Amino acid sequence: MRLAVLILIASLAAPLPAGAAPAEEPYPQLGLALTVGAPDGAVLSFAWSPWYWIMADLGFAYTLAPGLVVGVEIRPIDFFISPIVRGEYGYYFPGDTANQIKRWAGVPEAQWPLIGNASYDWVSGLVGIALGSRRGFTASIAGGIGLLQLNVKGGSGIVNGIQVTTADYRIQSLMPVARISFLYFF
Amino acid sequence: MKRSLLLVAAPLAVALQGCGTFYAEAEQPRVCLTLPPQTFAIPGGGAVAPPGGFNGASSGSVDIGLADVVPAFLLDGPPGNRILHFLSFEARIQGAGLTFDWLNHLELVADGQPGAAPVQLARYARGGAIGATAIRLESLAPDANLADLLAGGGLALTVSGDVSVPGGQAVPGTWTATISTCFSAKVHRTLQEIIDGT
Repeated sequence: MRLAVLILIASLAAPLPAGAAPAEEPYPQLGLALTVGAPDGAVLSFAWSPWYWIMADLGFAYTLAPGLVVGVEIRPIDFFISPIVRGEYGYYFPGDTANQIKRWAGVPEAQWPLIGNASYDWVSGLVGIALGSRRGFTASIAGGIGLLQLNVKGGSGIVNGIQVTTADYRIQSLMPVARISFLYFF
Repeated sequence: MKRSLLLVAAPLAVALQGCGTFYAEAEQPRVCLTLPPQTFAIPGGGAVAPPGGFNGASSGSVDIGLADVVPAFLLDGPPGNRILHFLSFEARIQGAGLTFDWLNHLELVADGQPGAAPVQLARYARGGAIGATAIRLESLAPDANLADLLAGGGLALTVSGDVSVPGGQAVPGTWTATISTCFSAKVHRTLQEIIDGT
């Protein structure tokens, strides 16, 4: 009898065969993120993560103008704290960007007709740290480098008695980028 | 794993290089200016050419205040990091029925600030053409950087030509033309230079 009890206890304590393990709850695949950063601005994005280590997101953004940001993020470790590697592309439609350029660059008002509508886009690569659960809430901070291109239309006007016509401008910058993001998977 | 490390290390390495790596660059591939009509004198002109014909010269200076008419971010920058290229020149004679038939050659030179070597920008030779009311010239020196010739944001151009009129025909005392000229401009500044304001 004692032997039978011992065998029963031992069999209960022994690890189950692999095939008999209880099914682990799958990672949630969909998420919602709120991000602030430069040059992102403020971004509200929808995330899709088919596996815990990779995520793609598409967001609606606003800085000087409305825009779209798409990104791919790799989170190699499934732990409370994890490094992240991220690549993203953003495009911002013409909005108030041209007026801001004129003001920031100190362009005299007489020359404003020489600067037309402006949109901008960029690509960036970032590394950072994520804190939180892949099954729920995560906060992350990341920094890196980005190549931003301003697409500024030309214009024409009479400045100081001279008729001036400009072609489209090419303006680009290799710049530091940074972002803080709050992500919730459901 | 090595690839992941490389992915992380590469952007960090570039970022750590800092402000010398980051830059902003502005380029205007074609800005064209049409100046108010300019008048040039023909010394000895204003009369009928003698029987043997009239041979003379005409020259004048055209000051283009680029900095006054073009956004400054296209011209401001540290020496060596700004480029100004001359693209083209057009002179359109003013006055009904007037032509450039009396003009044999025309030369356009950028003088710039005192002490700077002048740069020949364009040259015209009439050849056998008659009845032309406009002269359009492309750059002879498309790679010449005129940025260092800017003086106070302006560029001084000298227009000079040879005049030849057959005997018995009227030699104009002056000629007036609308001058149009086109340039390209490019400025490159590192983040460090932007921070330093240089």
